[in-house]
Amino acid sequence: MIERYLPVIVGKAIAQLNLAKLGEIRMRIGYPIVVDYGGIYYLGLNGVTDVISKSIICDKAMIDFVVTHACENSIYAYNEEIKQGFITVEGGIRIGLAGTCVNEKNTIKTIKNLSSINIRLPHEIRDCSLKILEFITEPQIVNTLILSPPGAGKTTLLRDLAFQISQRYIKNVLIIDERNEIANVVNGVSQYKLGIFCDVMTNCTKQFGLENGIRSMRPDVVMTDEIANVDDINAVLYAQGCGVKVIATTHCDNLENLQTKKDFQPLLSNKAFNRYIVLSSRNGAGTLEGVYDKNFKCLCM
Amino acid sequence: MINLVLSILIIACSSYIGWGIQNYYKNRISFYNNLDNFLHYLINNINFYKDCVNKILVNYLSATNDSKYLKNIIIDFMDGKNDFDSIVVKKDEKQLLTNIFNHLGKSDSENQIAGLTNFSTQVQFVLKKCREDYEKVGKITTKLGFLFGLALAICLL
Repeated sequence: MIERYLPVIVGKAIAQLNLAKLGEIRMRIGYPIVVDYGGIYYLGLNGVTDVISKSIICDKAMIDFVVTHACENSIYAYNEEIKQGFITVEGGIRIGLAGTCVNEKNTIKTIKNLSSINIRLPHEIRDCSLKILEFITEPQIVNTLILSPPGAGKTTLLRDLAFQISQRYIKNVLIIDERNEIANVVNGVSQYKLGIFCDVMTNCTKQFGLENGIRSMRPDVVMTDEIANVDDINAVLYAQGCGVKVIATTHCDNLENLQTKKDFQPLLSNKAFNRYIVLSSRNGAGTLEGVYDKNFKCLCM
Repeated sequence: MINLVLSILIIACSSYIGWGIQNYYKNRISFYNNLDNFLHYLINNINFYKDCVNKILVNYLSATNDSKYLKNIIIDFMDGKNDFDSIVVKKDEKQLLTNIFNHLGKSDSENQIAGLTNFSTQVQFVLKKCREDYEKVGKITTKLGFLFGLALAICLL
């Protein structure tokens, strides 16, 4: 699936790799294409290589090709995403963009002169949440925050949690999928197996999703990815105030750093989350660093 | 006898050519009319649904009864071509057609709609000119063809 978004030469090289092992493809104008393939490698004509001289050098046309195809020749349809610095395409593949932001009246209108892109491939790992499931669901489902640096498996874990909670505990799970990464909905159908009691709201802000979704879908559990700012945090507090359990993720490498985040203080001081799950990529994406309770007492390492 | 058959043949051929020219003018009107409707279809779909260009075009092709001329151009665009031409489009109008299709999907919705509205105005101007041409020339070409053929036939006889 990824090949159709890539220039022919890159697509052919990628086709020789095992996609289950491929984490991301980084393209920077004037530099070799780099892939995360269980380690960092250059992309050569015949697959991965350690030798820089054998690598494929990215040029502007390659970047333009990827972006144009990812947008299905329709910039207007993706401009809201482009403004946020990424495009999510079929298969839940997320293409991060770096370039020059075009500002107008203190808001970003679009990003032009793209110089780098990072193509991240999602992976569905069934049952990856089983080792932490009991901490979240026993004796009842509790508000949970999953912490990890980027690329350490937060979304994969959240996706599996949605499946497990929905299937095992027969709970209505509402996924607020702002970037269409968790469920990867195409034409109204999720490309992942999420469980029969899952509902998905895509391409809406967390604030909108949490407020309106709770009213309209009456969920038992709400799941959302990457809470980051005051609006997101207020939306989470609102949902919890409504009696709905929230399972969310955020970018942070450990609890100490979480406590230094100013925006998160209302959540921490209110002990809004009963469980904190810390992940890292120390031994590969999804390495469990610890499960903590609301007082940051370690329950599992 | 041969002269008579030849004369009838000349009149028929000449009338057919006249009818063909009349059809050309009619097809031009139909083409630009369809093109204008197509632009409004795009504007509405982009403005409201923000669907991707290809999805809009597929829906349009399956729903429309437009002439083959516009359909062929749309299919060319979907096939990735960026040079558009049609038998009913004059040389000086070809650039407009190319501009319209090369503009699709290249900007945010606000600019896209503004651009398409601007193209619609230009298409309406060409459409007006096509209608005038039809009134002036297209309408009488079948008759002229017949008369020309008749004159030749008389000379022959």
